Amino acid sequence: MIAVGTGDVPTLTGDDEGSNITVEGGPQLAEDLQDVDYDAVSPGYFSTLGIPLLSGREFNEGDRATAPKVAIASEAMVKRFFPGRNPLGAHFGFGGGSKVKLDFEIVGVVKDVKQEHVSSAPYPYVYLPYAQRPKVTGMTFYVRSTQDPLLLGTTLQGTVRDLDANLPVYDLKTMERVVEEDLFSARLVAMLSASFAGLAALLAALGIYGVLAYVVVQRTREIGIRMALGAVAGHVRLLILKEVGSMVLIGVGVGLPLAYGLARFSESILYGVHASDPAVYALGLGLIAFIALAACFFPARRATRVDPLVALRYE
Amino acid sequence: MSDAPTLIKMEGVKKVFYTDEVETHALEEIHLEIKKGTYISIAGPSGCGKSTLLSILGLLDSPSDGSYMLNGQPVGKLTISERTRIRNREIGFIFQAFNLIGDLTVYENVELPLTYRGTSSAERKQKVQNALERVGMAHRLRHYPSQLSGGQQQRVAVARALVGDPLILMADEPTGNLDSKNGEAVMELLRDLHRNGATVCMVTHDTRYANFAERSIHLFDGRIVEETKEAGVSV
Repeated sequence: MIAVGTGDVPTLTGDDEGSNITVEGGPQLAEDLQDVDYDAVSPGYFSTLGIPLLSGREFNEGDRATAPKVAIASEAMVKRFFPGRNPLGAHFGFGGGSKVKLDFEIVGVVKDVKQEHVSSAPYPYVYLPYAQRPKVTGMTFYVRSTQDPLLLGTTLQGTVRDLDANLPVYDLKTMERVVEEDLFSARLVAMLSASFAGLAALLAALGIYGVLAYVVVQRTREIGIRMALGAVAGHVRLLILKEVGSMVLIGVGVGLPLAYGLARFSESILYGVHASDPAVYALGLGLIAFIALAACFFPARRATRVDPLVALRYE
Repeated sequence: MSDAPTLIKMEGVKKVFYTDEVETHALEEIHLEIKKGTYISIAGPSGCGKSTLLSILGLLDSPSDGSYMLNGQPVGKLTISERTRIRNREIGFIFQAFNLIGDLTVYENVELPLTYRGTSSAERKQKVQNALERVGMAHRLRHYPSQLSGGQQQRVAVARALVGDPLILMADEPTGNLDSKNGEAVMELLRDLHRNGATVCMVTHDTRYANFAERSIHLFDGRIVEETKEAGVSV
């Protein structure tokens, strides 16, 4: 076992606790910008979870209930409440108004982490020593180890049972599992979107194929005339490619703005989606071009096999 | 004309079609020689093999047997792409149904053979202009075929056949879809082209138009049964 830490609010489960705060010498903020989320954590919490300490110190055993109240702020909190100043040593208090006791001293700053959801944007967060919280509603233990998680789970359950057989140990899982569960709905949406996109691509390919097959039949006489006049297979293929090219251009002209609009919407519900991600558009366009080319392969081949004699026979 | 070099020479050409188990002999033992500058008509009743012969002469089809020399080169057993190249450079087609492409303007239709030949844009422009002037259609460059009368469309088709300076013009019933007035006009146009040195080979079932040619061969059941030269003289 390398490290152990505890927290009141389980990370990446959607749970949160929050309050408005008043900062000593802090900026004037709109009411909805005065809130922070907070968690009561143990010494070793940050090192266990691999959250980098940017300045100051972590909590230690000295941060007991009777000791002066201390807190560790996140980067986002510092940016909002301490713009242009060193937060270490600054005081704040929970609540608003002139009677708020500014009894918490900031002793450290840590890097922003995804606390509520993997998809959450950085939000002002303050960590408090759990020993200084009057009421702890639950406790989530985080264990960093090189041991196999299954074996570790059994060891942990045995250790807790030895300490207190009545203490329930539940929801034992790896952080990978926690992240997976948090991303489940987003992944489900992504999978469904990908399935629908695949279906749409298939329909597009079938549509292009159908239209081109029809076009080739409709233009058999024209193709025959062109071949009678000297068009070789390459010229005929180019003719069909122009046809599919115009279809793709119209489709792209209509589809791109729609895709951008939908991507803007997806940004709000899917983690890591950016509406203006050029790689995604390039990939999408490349895929559509590939589908169109694949769909026109057989009609184009059929067109190149038109017998120029049809130009005369059609008379 | 007898001193003119031979442009086309066919010896023992046969064409057999196979449909399911039925064997149809469309052409039998065709011996034909056409000299440069000749205006020849191929006449005969419906189904006698006129169009089949023109298809082989125009390299749209290949003979089942026999030899075919075009401008001194054996062309009876060429690959499709070789036939296409020669067709594009050496042969101009005039079809009964005009066969202009409806989505293209008059200019673009006439330009097609040159486009497939890889001629430069400037040269194409000049040649298309000249060809359309020769048939009196230079004032209809931007029109579409549907905006022209039948006679005008056939004139455009003649310009398209002429534009690449082919060795020979192949006309398959060029007056078949025209009224008599427009038919006469197109025949006059072909005669003028011939007088200016063009070699013309025309299929027709109409004896009036066959007489426009200086030489006429008559097909029956796939064989040449009669040949006349000038003013209806049988040879």
